[in-house]
Amino acid sequence: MKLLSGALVLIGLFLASIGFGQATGLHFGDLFVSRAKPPPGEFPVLDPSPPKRIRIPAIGVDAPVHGVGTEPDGTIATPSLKLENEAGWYKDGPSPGQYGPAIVVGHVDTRDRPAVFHRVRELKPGERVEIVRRDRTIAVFEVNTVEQYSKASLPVAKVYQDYSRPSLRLITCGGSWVGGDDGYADNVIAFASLVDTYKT
Amino acid sequence: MKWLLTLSAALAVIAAPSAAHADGEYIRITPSTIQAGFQIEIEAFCGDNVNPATVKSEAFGVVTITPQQDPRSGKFVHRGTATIPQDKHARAYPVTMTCPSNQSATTTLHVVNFNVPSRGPRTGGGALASDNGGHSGLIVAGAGSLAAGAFLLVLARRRRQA
Repeated sequence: MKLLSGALVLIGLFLASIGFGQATGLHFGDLFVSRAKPPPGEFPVLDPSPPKRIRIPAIGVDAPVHGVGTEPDGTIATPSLKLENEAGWYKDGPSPGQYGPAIVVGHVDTRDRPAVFHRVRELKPGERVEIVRRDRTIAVFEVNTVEQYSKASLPVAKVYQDYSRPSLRLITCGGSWVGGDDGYADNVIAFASLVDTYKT
Repeated sequence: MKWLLTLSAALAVIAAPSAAHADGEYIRITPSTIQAGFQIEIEAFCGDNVNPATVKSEAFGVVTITPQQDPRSGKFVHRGTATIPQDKHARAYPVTMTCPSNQSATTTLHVVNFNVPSRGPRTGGGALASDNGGHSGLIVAGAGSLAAGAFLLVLARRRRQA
């Protein structure tokens, strides 16, 4: 009896903490590891050219990119939910390789399946993102950090207005599902810096 | 008199093209792509000239930049800043720098102009959202098991006391 109750308590603690960890995205190990990597000192700079393809080998992404504008309410538009394996580049902003933040949005899921950016939150600092541009230059970015913010209030200066070097912002959804206009409550954003370029 | 004119004309022809870039004039704008309303830094070199140079562009008008001696190389480099007005249209603008010696250098400034709200983009359809149910299921199961265990523990103690 005593043994059984003790075992139940242990199992309960175990299950509850696994559930809590999965629900919140918090992991015990993360508390002891820095989640950011500063960008390297030297960097290339490219002339404007729109992106055509995005490749992130670490999380199995290889998808076409097309230009997107804004929704009537001013938020950045996203690809159709029917294009599950396609990303959108915000065409009013810098192109990948120019100074400033090139913004690439992608769905975490569609209505019935995971989509192009569903593993962006798993990206680790130092991992590479390749953007193939129309001028056939490939811009290689290195992930600095992956952050999660409430969709209601992104830090605008950090996400959209950092012109200190050529960089990339991969934006997708995360957090809990609240439905309505927002869908998910949060945005997951990967911040990356240009470290290399090459031609095909 | 005539030979003097001819000589000076000849000298001018020889001197002019080679002088244009003889002293390594350059202009660099950082960042070379900028959001309208923000400030850029200008760095230029006029062959060690110690007089101010002018920088002209449709993106920000006319700016005078002054030379400062580089402590390491001892050379004079012109530095200054310019702010792009908030209503400037997004496109590429040529920038021309003219040295006191009338030699010049050019570069291009890319202006972007967008204004996005702090509300983030809608990047989900909800297929993975049901996962949350799975997690809360685990939490509920864990809590249930905890409660059952605690209840049994209390029961066991009471029996022993009785």
